Amino acid sequence: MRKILVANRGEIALRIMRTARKMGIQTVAVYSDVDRHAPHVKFADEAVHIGPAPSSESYLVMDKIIQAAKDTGAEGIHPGYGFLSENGEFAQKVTRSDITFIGPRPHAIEVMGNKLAAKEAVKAYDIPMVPGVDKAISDVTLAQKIADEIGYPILIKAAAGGGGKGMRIVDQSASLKEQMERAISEAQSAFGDGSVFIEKYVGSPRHIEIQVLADTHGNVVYLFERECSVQRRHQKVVEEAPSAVLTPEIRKNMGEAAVRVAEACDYVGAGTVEFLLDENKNFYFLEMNTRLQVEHPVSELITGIDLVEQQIKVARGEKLSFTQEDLKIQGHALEIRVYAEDPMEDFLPSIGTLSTYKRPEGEGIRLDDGFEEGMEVPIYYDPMIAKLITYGASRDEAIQKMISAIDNYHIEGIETTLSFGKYVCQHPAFISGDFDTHFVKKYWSKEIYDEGLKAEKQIAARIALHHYLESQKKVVVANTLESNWKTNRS
Amino acid sequence: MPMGHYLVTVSDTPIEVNTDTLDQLDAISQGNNSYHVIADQKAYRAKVLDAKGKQLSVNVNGNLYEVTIADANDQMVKAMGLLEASAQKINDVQAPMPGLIVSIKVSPGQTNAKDDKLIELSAMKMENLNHAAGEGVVKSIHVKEGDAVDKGQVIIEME
Repeated sequence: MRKILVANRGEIALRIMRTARKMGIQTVAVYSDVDRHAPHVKFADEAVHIGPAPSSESYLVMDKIIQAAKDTGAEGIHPGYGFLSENGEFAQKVTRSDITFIGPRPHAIEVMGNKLAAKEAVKAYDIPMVPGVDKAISDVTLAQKIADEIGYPILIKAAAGGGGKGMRIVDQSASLKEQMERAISEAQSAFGDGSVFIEKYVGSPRHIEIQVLADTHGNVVYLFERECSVQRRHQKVVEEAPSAVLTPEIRKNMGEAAVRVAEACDYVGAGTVEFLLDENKNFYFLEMNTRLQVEHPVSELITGIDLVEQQIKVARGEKLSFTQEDLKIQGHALEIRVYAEDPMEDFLPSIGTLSTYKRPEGEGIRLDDGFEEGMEVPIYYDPMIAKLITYGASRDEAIQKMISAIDNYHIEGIETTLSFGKYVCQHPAFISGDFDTHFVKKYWSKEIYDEGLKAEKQIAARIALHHYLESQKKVVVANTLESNWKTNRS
Repeated sequence: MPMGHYLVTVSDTPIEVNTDTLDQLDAISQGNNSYHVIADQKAYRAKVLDAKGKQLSVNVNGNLYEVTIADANDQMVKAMGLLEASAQKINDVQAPMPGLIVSIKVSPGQTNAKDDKLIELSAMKMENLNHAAGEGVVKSIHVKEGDAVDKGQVIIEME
């Protein structure tokens, strides 16, 4: 493979191209009307315009992207994450066009893309699952019976779901009927598929996932875990590797279970198996993401392995050059997702021009970003503008490095989640490692945050006033001198 | 030095500062607009990054604060401005976030009840449905479908 097209934008497009270039592979970018100035377009060896800003008319149009690959002679397509990365039909079309899809086979994408099909596929592989049903259910009486058996609270989930949509927690049998009907209608409108199923609701879960890597020769390894419990709107904001709570024994059990999940769907390439860990450290299979994850850099830093490079090598048919025994965890890595959102206003989008954009630099700091000073953050795409990653010999070192990196990362013009990231890094629950997916709900509010900054604000007010009054003094002195001059001359 | 009472707004938080308390602040100037401050035995590193008259940006321990200074005169002008602003009807509908208008669920002259859907707004893959805060009659709609709006922009005017 001498040339690949990256069917994505922003930081991930740039990150993939960097590795491709390092490997001596030519890169092709695709871009919409609003992305002409984006760094991924400027970095690539070739760039193809694929349409207007809305992704449904550009980055999501399979035929345009495949045509762009044909026109430029790209031999492979890397989908990144989001957009078409977990679309089995796209993988199929790419393959049929005699272009290599850098990712798993269409079959694995389809099986793991549906939660019920995924449960069915891993059934025979001895994977711990959350108690519940593994079939779509619409009969309320049957649902009542099952819910009584597994015990409340229960969780109703959409089979085709993701990102927390179509999920409902039910505390008691009286509200089951109503909640089920709502979940079905929500799933129908969000995913065009109204199938829902029932699971036991795990009370204070941690979200821990295992990175796996498989080649086309039957070798599968795991690159340990990532802890992604700090979330807002069921989406991750802070991730780290390794987790502060896994023992070597649980890590091994989870890793081996993840490898079996990958084997269950004949997985090829880099993938992630997500688990829930309950307060007694029992783990349950949640789902498999059949692509490169946003948070993959933390695994790269603790293992020293470039996952994009591995994806490309696997796509070329190469054998993995290392075994499970060769892999060791070294140090600790932490990632903050920098979203163009206002943490003080319920994490609502914040759009604008990056009037100031100064990157933090230093040893142990990695910044995967796709913006430059003066650029506008477009309204059409995901709000994530960058990922700030730090690495240290210990967890504490990585956290301290993150705090100073955030202090040296200057973004003005939009609100971002950096302030939230710093708050997390300084929070006793996060520092101690004792936190779960309810971190935001339990510990974050504008009031608590403001309280913590009260003293700093007092200082800022006084320093600013002092500075202002001093500057006024200077003006007065200057005026006096000028008038003296005039007096002397006359 | 003008003495007296100032209202200093630090990133949306109003703080009253009297000039004679300024001297009590244990701050030493380190040149280049930087200061080392000790308050309650805690150390703060402050730096004035940008100053345009009464608008300043101040970094304290790595956090950036936008500061606006108002003297007695400014405070009086502002108080008068507020009086005028309060004449604007409070139930006008403003955009809760910047975004694109996906759909408008009401039309001028229409009476809506509390919690009725008014406008669907979308930004960065996130959708936000604006509900009526109370009962009212739509006077005019300032946007059309497909328009981009800023946060706080008035999108629907009520009778």
